[in-house]
Amino acid sequence: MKPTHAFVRFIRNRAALVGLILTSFLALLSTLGPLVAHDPNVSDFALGRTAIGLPAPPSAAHFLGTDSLFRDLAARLVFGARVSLLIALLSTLVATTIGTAVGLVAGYFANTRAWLLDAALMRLVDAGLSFPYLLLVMALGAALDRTDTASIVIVLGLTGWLGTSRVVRAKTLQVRELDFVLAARALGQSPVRILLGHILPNVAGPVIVTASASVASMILAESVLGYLSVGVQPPTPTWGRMLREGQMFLTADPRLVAAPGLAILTAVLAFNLFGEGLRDALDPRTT
Amino acid sequence: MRSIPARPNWLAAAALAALCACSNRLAPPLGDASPIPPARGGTLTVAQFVAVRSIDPAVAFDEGADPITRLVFGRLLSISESGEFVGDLAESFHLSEDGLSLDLYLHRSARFHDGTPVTAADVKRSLERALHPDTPCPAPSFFERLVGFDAFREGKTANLDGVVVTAEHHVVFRLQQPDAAFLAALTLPFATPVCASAGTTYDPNFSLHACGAGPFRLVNWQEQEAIVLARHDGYYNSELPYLDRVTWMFGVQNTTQRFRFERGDLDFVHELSAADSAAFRSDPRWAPFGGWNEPRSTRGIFMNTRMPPFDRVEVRRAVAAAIDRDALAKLRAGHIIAATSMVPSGVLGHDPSFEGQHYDLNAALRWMKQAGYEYDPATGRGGYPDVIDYFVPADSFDMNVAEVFQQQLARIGIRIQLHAMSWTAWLARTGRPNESRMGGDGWAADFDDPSDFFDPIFSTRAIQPEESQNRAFFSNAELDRLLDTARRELDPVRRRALHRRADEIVRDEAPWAVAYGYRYYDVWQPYLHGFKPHPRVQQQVGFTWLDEVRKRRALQARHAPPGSLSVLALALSLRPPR
Repeated sequence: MKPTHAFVRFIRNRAALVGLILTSFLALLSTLGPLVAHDPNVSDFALGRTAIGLPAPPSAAHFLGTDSLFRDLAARLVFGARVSLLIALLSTLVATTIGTAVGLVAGYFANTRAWLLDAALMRLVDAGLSFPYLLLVMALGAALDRTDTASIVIVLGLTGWLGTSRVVRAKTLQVRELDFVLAARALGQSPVRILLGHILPNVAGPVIVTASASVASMILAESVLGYLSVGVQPPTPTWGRMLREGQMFLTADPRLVAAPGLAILTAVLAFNLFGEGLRDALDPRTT
Repeated sequence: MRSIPARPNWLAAAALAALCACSNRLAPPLGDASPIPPARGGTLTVAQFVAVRSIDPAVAFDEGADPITRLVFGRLLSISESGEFVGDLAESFHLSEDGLSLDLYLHRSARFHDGTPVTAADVKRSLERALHPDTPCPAPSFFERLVGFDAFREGKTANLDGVVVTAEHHVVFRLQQPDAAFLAALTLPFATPVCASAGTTYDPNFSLHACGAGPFRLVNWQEQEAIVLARHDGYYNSELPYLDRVTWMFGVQNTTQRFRFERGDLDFVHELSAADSAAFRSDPRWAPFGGWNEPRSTRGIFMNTRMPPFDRVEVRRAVAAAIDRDALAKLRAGHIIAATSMVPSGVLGHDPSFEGQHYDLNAALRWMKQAGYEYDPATGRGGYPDVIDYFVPADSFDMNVAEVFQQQLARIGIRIQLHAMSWTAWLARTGRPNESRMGGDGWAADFDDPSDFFDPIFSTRAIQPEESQNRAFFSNAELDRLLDTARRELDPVRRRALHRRADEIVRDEAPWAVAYGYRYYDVWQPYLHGFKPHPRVQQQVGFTWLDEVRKRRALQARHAPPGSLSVLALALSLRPPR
């Protein structure tokens, strides 16, 4: 399959295009937005609550109004995008790296003399998958004395590789039987060289697809952690925490919940559409 | 240059309004408030967010447990609305002229929940149980002026000599020195009589089958969910209580409390969010059924005086001067009262004329300079070089306030990093001498006396290696002397002067940056009678009564199908059976 074919298929897929546009928009928002936004952690106490005790409404100075601590809601949304996307991308990188490594090793050694390695790794994956994912993430988040961006990336990365390893293992089982791998083996190349030089490039397609879908679930997981107060510590804005802070105004001032809620919805939808588009474009069955 | 006034962005407002076409409109009150005479019956349902850990009066010493222990155990003495000590389980009491002896006479008709009469021996046994060396009583020092207290606490004597039973219903408390706060101490749960089944020392299981002499007995306690209480027919006042039952639910968030209250599932609500409180206050239909409580707590920042940089008084003063209390008051308008002194306005001894800590940014910068940490706000250079951990309980309003403190302290070059943790972890870690440099703190009135805002949190004797209540680990010989003198001093004017001087020491030495007091707005349904916020005691709902008929009618009317639907429903109900 030529890359140009995949690209053509991708841009002909409207849903995938929407996903691409939305992810590009989020990427732009999180990189350029902070350059023009207010400081998200500074309260504007010149404002006051409304007559019925609500945070300041939208105004020329504050496009979306302020949160309950008089901080610019739009700025927090934009900086929250940066934090959420950074965590999602980095944790996906960690999870994909671990998942790919485990999947490659397990798949390569399955049904060989070193089958025990495959069995051990896959039972580890089975055990990990038997835990509800979010519960596992929450337990780890709660167990940490202090949570910051790095620790959340590690928690999400260390718990998010299980599915990737399964996919990579299955693909490795197929690829390792192909002639060029047998030829490399016959030439006496080491397993590491075969895995990295011959098999990895051929399982890259599913890995990319899994990773893009994983970003969406990482955004969701980070939001859940933030909502449950075991995510990044305040005052750093995250969408999940904004959701929690706004919930007490759910009926009185829904914008405080709607803004981060829509942001999470958009981001998850964007990465899912993008990932599905990639899958459809790269899937050999459709070629 | 004239600044541009903030204008509403109508486009964004319209888009958001269209997105969420809802408002904070309240359901109408259930029924009307036509007065009815007190009548027995009904179940009062109340909820709160925190779950009660224990209702054993020997150890339960927190705001969450307090209203429940009052219902189950009652108190020997209580405080009237005007702030006077009045008998509760005690029919009468008399303090001797020299202040060294207190005679207390119990109601002869008082019965425990197990049916046995409440006697003077029970008072002695119960206090000895609470103060027993093996009982983890959180504040035994309230009774340290009793004769024989030290020997009893050290396990040298089997009995507390200062509590003398002279007759079946007469007990005498003998003091080594006059103690102006002793009557207040008898309003605490530790002094309340408990059944003989409680044993001689603390038993964690006693809470689950608690037995006292209060107006309600414990029926059922589902931990983390609810406590169910039923009327105690042996209560000393045979007319009280009116309610058959009280259900006190736990773990209910304030937003949920509001909705359940509107639906009639809760009859009274204390923990409203700021937005919901404002909605109730601004709705004229609800105006007759709501009321403010007086602020009975002081909140602020503790600074560990043994750890740098807060071992320098200049830095502590800088923090105290950097807190803009008026800005804080905007966070929850009406609920937050800017505080400048330790004694809140809802407690006897509060002095509104006292000039305490106040916001002065220039003074704060000067103090930083004097401490050697000069800071230039224009360039952001200078200040204290390290980032300081600020310990705060997670998911609390303190967390919101801490985010504001963080901004305000950054203006004087003190950078703090919020460290959120569970309430239990916060208690343990801030209570150790060298673990936390600063954090959010608060003190709620245990009884109606200003000494409660100094002795337990600033005296040297309140410093402990673990679970220290003096989280600033502040030790000041003059303050200790003053507090001792004030405790012996029975003349209210001289005593007030001593506490005023104590407040000045706290202001100047700044172990705390005093910030604000918090008050609640209570709302109740019209069919709940006999309740109004007590200025001294929160959530005193035990002697209310319910108009069950009007409540039922109001609920039926609210859930009845409207207009033509009701005709249809009537027609269907009249259809002859097949």
